[in-house]
Amino acid sequence: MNALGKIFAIILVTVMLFVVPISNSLQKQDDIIYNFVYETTNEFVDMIRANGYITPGQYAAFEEKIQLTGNLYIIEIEHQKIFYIPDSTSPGNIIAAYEGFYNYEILEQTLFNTLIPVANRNYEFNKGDYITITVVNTSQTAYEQFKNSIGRNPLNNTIYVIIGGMIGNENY
Amino acid sequence: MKITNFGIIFILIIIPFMLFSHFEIRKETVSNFQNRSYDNIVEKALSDASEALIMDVDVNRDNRIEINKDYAIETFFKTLSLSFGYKDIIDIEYLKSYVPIIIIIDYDGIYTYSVEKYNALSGEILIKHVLHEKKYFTYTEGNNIITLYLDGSYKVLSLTKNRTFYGTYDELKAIAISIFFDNTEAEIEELRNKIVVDLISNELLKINDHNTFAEINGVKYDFFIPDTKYDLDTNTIDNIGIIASIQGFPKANGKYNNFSVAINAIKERQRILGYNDAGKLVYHEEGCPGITGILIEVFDSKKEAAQNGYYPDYECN
Repeated sequence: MNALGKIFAIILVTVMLFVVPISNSLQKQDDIIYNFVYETTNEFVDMIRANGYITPGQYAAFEEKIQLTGNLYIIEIEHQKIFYIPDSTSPGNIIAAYEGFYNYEILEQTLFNTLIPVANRNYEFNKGDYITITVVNTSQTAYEQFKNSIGRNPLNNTIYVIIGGMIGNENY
Repeated sequence: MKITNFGIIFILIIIPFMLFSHFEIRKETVSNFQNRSYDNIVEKALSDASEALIMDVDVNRDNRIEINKDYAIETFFKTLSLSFGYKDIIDIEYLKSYVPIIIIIDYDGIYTYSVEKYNALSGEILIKHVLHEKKYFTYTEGNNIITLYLDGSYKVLSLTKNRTFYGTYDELKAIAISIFFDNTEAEIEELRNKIVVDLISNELLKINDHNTFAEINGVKYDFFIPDTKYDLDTNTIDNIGIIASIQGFPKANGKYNNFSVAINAIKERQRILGYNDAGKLVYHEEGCPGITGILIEVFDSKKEAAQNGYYPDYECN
């Protein structure tokens, strides 16, 4: 009984002295990272909404800034371009429709396309288009690693930021 | 008992309390995050909607812009759903159960977007969000019905003369159409504000219908009177804009409510005057004290003037 009590005491001490404080501080760290990524993404989206374009420099700066947190992220940009088609059921009316452009068109074909001279690589939006930026962590954050090493339910992609809005200006 | 046993007992007693408070604090933290991000989303949606209100607009015969009310509402929900990560049209319809009311303020009246129960052509009874008919800012004085515009002009429908008079305060006062214009301009403006706020407050009662609708859709919340971050009584509404309310959106700790107002600051179109000042091309704002030279061209913006090779005049600002 005495030996059993000792083992129990040791387990309790480990949990209370090490696991709980580490878990709490790592969680707090993740919260701060989440906040930082949210604010950065929000700023970036607001900038695009106000300007109506992205330059390669702006995008690189944004990417660099969120990677300062020490994690790897997937950044998904969705551009919904507005266009109008005549309404066949009621003549004279029009229907607004949207066409989606994604990372491939925006990043590979425009911003970082080495075939185009640098000065022409800005990706331009039209007034009334929509932009959505999603940022998800792909590498495990410190808290996820810790939690996954002791818990049974895997914890992934805890940093998930999605921000969207309409383009309000064509300042190019 | 040994001292270690007391230690164990102490920890065993303290653990439940600690865990409980830990979870509560966690909930509170997450809820704070959500509050801030929801505020941000609603603010974005509202500013997009008020932008859409005046995008690609036509000018009507009163020389006023005709607002894009349907487009503004569509934009509001589109931005809202994008930021919540909703893609499906059904999700957007579901999102509407959290939006009791949207009020669009035009120059001479307001439109309300809220739920309405009606009989469809097929005979079913439908409850759906619809754009209600426009309610005007009017005032009745004797045999005159006066429509008050937010930009300071008035339309008087005279029942005795069977005519409509339209003009500014000074013009209407000059022709003495109604004793209403014997009041000073400041008094009339105060009255107009009161009419606008009363009309909006009345329309806010439509939230009642929404509560029933939300319950049918399975959305339950404790109803609160809209939390007015924007105080309607002290802030004057003097331009077109949009008001929206979010009610009972779930978050980690309770429900999220919001009541926001976005008023557009539409100014008259800016005219930029391009002058040739002794061979130097200079552009001026209207009413600039330092204008010299010969007027060559008038531009819509400073940007356009600069593109045509004109330089700014620093005395204008």
